[in-house]
Amino acid sequence: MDETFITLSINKFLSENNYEVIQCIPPGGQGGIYYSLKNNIIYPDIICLKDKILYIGENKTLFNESDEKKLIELSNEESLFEKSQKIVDNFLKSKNKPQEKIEDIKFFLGFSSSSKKQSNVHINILVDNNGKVLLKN
Amino acid sequence: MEIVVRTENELNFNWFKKGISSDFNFTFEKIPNPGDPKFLNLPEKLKNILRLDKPDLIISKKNENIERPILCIEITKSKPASQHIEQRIPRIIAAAESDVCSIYICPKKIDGYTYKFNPKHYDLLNKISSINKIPSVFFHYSNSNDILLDEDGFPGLPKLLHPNMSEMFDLIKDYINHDQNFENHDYKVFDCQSWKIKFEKQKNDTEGKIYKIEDLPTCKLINTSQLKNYLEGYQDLNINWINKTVENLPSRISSREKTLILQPETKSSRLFAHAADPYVGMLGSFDYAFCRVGRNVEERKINLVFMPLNSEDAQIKKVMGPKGYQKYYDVNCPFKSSELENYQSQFKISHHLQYGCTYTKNKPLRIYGYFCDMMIFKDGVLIF
Repeated sequence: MDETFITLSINKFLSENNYEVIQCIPPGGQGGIYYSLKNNIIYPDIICLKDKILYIGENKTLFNESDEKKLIELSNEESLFEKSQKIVDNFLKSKNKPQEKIEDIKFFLGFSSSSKKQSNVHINILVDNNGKVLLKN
Repeated sequence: MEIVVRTENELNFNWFKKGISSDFNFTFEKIPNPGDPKFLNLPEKLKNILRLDKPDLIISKKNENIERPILCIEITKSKPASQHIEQRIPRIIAAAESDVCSIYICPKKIDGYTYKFNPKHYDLLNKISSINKIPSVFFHYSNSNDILLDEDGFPGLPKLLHPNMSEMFDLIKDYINHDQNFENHDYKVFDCQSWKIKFEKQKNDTEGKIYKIEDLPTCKLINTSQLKNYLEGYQDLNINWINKTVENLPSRISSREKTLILQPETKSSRLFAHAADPYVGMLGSFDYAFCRVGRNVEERKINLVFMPLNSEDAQIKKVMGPKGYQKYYDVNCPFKSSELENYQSQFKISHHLQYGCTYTKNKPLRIYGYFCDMMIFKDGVLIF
């Protein structure tokens, strides 16, 4: 199971469960939406929206501590809400949908269900060998 | 007719298939990694396309089991700042130098950002196309009032029901059909009328804008005759060492009147970090914008030199060190074992006997070695 499989399985799950996927970057994929983080720029693998909650996620084949840390740092960024609202505004405008204010931002890590470690901080999205996805808070 | 679409993920393939909406017989294939058994199965032309970097999509035609790449597609939603456009240019160059057309999709402007696509990039693609006699053209990401539009279900890929994408897919279909003539030895892609029209339009779209060295703060143009003085003023080496280095430079370098030095001063080390983006892309872009007069890297009117000024990158030991080719030797070099570890080892060793590390060293090393005439460090130079 590679990172592409994880990312595309999660993308499929999100689309089937009424999340609006704003960005999905499998390895080698293209993304234009980024956040600035301590002079660095990060392009989240997945950004999606459901019920006024924005979800930002990073995927790897196995649980990855540096991704967990990166998302914690992002969650502490001062301009996170402002930047995220702009991303949502642009997305909704591009889809000709009415504007809405985001009420919360949540973070997730996507990885294989065979991974021994999981995150205690973010949502875990686990993918099995058949591409079945399980959400674990 | 079979059309093989090679790309990193199936999302790209499905988007392409949906966009072209024709009854061609499509096959999805992943782009194999160098050293992998499947890489050895690629046609040489396709390997050549991958020698600097990896395009997003490579489209090939397959007839009687012979695969022939005909088109590369590059897609980005990044804001159209110059360095973001240049970052991907080596992929276009590798395709053009392999006689393969390219389409580069990027935003023209994004709502909320001041950056606008600079028409000088059209001129850059025109130069790459003219020198290689194969067209490379820009299309702009689907948009409405500068809001980028994604195809539903395909985040990061442009909306298909948009004039830009309709025009692009018409062009691709036209080429695939027209290319039936490829067995004719006089055949040129420019014979395909729709490509010719698109390319002529791109020439007009430049609005007279071209790359200018004086607009590039990271670049310096010197007389090659001053190179020795330049090295003396910069390097921590004795004069004898510098004299011997200059005396032994290939004549193609010493005979060119001018030398262009790209000398970025980054806050943190960038020689290998973040795949050395955007500097490796800038090297390829500046090569064609200022130096290149022919298809071969030896055919230059101006030398192209890279000189990283960041204190860590300015030492040649960085190139040799753990993040440079020492890592390559430690991790990737297949010639250290005296016996085969597994079945894959056979393919990896064969690959390296045939191609050396052309495809397997890291991207920055591949690109520095290809585009630079020389790299200047405090404690030495590398000459290519």
